[in-house]
Amino acid sequence: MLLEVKDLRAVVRPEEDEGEAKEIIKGLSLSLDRGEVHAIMGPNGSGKSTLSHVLAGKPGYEVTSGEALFDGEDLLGLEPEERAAKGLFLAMQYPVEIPGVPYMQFLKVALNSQRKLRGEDELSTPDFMRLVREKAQALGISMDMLKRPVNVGFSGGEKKRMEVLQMAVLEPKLCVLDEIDSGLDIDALKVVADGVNALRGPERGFLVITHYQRLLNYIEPDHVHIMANGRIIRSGGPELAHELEREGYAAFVEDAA
Amino acid sequence: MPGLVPGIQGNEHGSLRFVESEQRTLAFVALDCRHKAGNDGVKGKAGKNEQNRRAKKVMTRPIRKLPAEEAWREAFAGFSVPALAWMQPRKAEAFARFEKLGLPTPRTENWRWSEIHRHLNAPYPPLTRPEAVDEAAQPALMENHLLAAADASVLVFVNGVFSEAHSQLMEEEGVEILPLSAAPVAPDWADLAPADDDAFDLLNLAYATDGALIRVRAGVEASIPLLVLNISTGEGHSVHLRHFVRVEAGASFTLYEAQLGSGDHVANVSTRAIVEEGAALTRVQVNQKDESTIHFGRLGADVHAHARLHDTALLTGGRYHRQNTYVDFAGEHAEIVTNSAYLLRNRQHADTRLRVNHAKAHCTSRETFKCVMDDHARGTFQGLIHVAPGADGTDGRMGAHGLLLDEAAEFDSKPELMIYHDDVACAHGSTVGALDEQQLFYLRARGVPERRAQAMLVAAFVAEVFDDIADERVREALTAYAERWLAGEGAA
Repeated sequence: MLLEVKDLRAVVRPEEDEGEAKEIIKGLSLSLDRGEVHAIMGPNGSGKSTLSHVLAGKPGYEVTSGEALFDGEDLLGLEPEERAAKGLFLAMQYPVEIPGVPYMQFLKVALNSQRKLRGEDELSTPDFMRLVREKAQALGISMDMLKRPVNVGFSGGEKKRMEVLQMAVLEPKLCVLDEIDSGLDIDALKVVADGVNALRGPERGFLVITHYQRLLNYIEPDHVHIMANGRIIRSGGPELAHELEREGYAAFVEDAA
Repeated sequence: MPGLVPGIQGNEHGSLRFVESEQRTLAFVALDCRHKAGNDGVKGKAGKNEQNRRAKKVMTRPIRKLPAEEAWREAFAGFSVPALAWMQPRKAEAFARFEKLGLPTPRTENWRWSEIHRHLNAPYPPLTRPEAVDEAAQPALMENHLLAAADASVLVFVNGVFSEAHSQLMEEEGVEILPLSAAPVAPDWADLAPADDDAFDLLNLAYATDGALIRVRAGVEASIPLLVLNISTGEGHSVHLRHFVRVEAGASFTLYEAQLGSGDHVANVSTRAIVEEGAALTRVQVNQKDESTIHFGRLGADVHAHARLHDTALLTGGRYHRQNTYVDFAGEHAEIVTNSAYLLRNRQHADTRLRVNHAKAHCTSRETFKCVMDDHARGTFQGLIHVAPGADGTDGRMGAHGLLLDEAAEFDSKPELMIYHDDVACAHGSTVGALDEQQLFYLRARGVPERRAQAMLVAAFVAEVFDDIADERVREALTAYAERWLAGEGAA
C-alpha cells in the first residue's frame, strides 16, 4: 500500500494565549495504492486541507493518535523535506510567493536536495536544464517564467500550472492535490488537469482534494471519499461524486450524523 | 500636514509621528523603531524628552573620557608621517578641531544606539611605523575576499601603509591613481578636507598615514576598475586611511573597497568622492574582517548635475562597524542609489548613519538598507533625506528592513524625512520581521532541508541590494555569499 492512514486524529496547535487546541481530524482512515486516483470531497471546514497539511508535515498541527504509513514507513515522524524526498508531493491550494528566489534556482535546489537525501547523485546543470525545458514545454510554460521569482506576479492559473511542473520534475510517488481547481477558469483547469493526467501511471498515486465535482470530470478518480467533520463518512466509486453533485453535501452529512 | 508629504509609507510595526521642529519645516517625519524578535510592540524611545533635548542642543559630557579618546588626544604630539609632510598643517587643524569636539557620547544625536562606550573602552593609539607589513598581507587574505572576482587594478594598504609589492596598477589613459604617500605636494584637484562635525573623520585626517588618490579625466569612461584592499591586523592600535576620488565631467569609474584583516583594533577608512557634471561613479564596499575589529567607514560624496553615484555595500565582518554615508547633491537632475546588506551574527553590531541632502532640484535618490541579524547581533539604521528649500521635483525613497533570526537579536531603525519644500515625492519605510513560516514550509515541502531553506530566504531578503552591480561576477559572488552565510561558511 502506498498510503495507509489509520484512525488519524490531529489538532491545530493554538497560537500563544489563544485557548485550547482544536481537533480537526477526528479518526480518519484511508488506503491508497499505486496507480490509484482517490478523490476526497467535502464541505468547507470538513478538514480536507488539514489532512493534506498533516500528511506533508506542515508545522502548526499535532497528531494526537493514529498513524500514517507511506510505502510502509511511518510518515508522521519525518521532517517535511524527508517526506518530499521519499516521494510525497503536496500541490498547494495557495502556492506561496517567494520574492528574490528565481524559480529555476528553486527547482534545482529542490530536485538536488531530494536526490541528496535519497543518496543519489545531484543532477548537473545542463541535465537539469534539459529536463526542465522538456517538462515546461509540455505544459506550455515559457522559460521566461522560470527566470522570475517563485510565484511572484503569477496568475492563479500560472501558479497551479507551475505546481504541476514541479510534480513533473520531481516525479513523486504520491501527489496530494489540495484544491488544485480553486481560482481556475475552465481553460486553466483543463491545462492543469491534462498535466496531472499525463503524470498518471501504475507507479504513482493521487489524492485529489476538491470541493467540486467539476474537477473530477477532468481528473477521473478510481475512488471517491466524502469527508465531513474530520472523518470520511462515505466511500465509493466515481458515481459517488455524481450523486453528491445531485443531492448536495447536506444529505450525506445528515445521514452520517 | 500629511498631505504635504505625499507617499510617506507607514509601518505596521512602527510609529509614525509628525513634528514641526522649526517654523520653516514643512514636514519632519521620523519612524522610530526598536525591534526585538517576538516583540512586535515598538518602544518609542525618542519621546518628548528627546525632542526637548534636541531643541535645547544640550550636550552633556561624561566625566571620564574613554580610554580610546585619551589615547587619541595624547598621540598627536608625537605623531608624524614624513611622506605626508605637506599635509601636516591640515592634520594639525583637524586635530585641534577634534580636541574641541571630542568623541560622540550616547547623548549625541545620531550616536545614541552606537554603544561607543562599550566599543571604545580601550586605547587604540594610531600606528605610525607599522611592522610586519608583508606578513600581514597574507595571500589567503588578499585572494579570498568577495571582490576577488573583479577584473581590476589593485591598490593594497597594509596597516595604513601602501604595499607596492602587493599592488598591481594597470595603465589607462585619462585615469590617474596613486597613493597619497607618493604625492610630493598637495594635489590641487583633491579635496582632503574633513567633515567638521564628525570626530572620526577629523581623527582620520589627523592620523592618516596613506590613502588612494584617484582622478578620472573629463569624458573618460574608465574600463579598468580599481580595487582597494584596506588590510589591517594586530591588537590595540588604530589605522587611518584617507581615500579621494574625483570623476570629472562626463567620465565614469568603478571603485571597489574591501575591508580585510583581523584582531582587536580600530580601522578608520574615509572615502571622499566628487562626481562632476554628467559623470558616474560606482562603488562597492565589503567588510569581511573578523569579529574582533572595529571599523569606522565614511563616504562623503558630492554629486553634481546629471551625475550618478551607485553605492553598494555588503558588511558582514567586524565586531562593530559604523558607516557614515553623507551625500550632497551639488547640481540638478542627479541620481544616487545607495544599497546596503548587513549580515550579522554573534555579538556583531553594525551601525549606519546615512544622510542624503537634496540641496538641488530634480534629483533622485534611492536608499535601501537590509539587515539580517542572528544570535545577539544588533543592527541600527539612522537615515535622513533632507530636502532643501527650492529643491523642486525631488524624488527620494528610503527603506530600512530588518530580518531577525534570533530572539536575542535587535534592530533599531530611524528613517527620517526633513522637507523644506512642498513639490517633492519622498517616502520612507521601515519593516522588521522573522523568516516567513509559509515560505519556509513551501521550500521544505519541496525537499529543501530547513537550514538550506532559511539560507535561501536570507539571500532572497538581501538580493535586491546587489541588483545594481554591473559586474556579473562580483554580483554573483556577493549573492552566493549571502546564501552561504547562514551555514557559517567563510568567504572562500
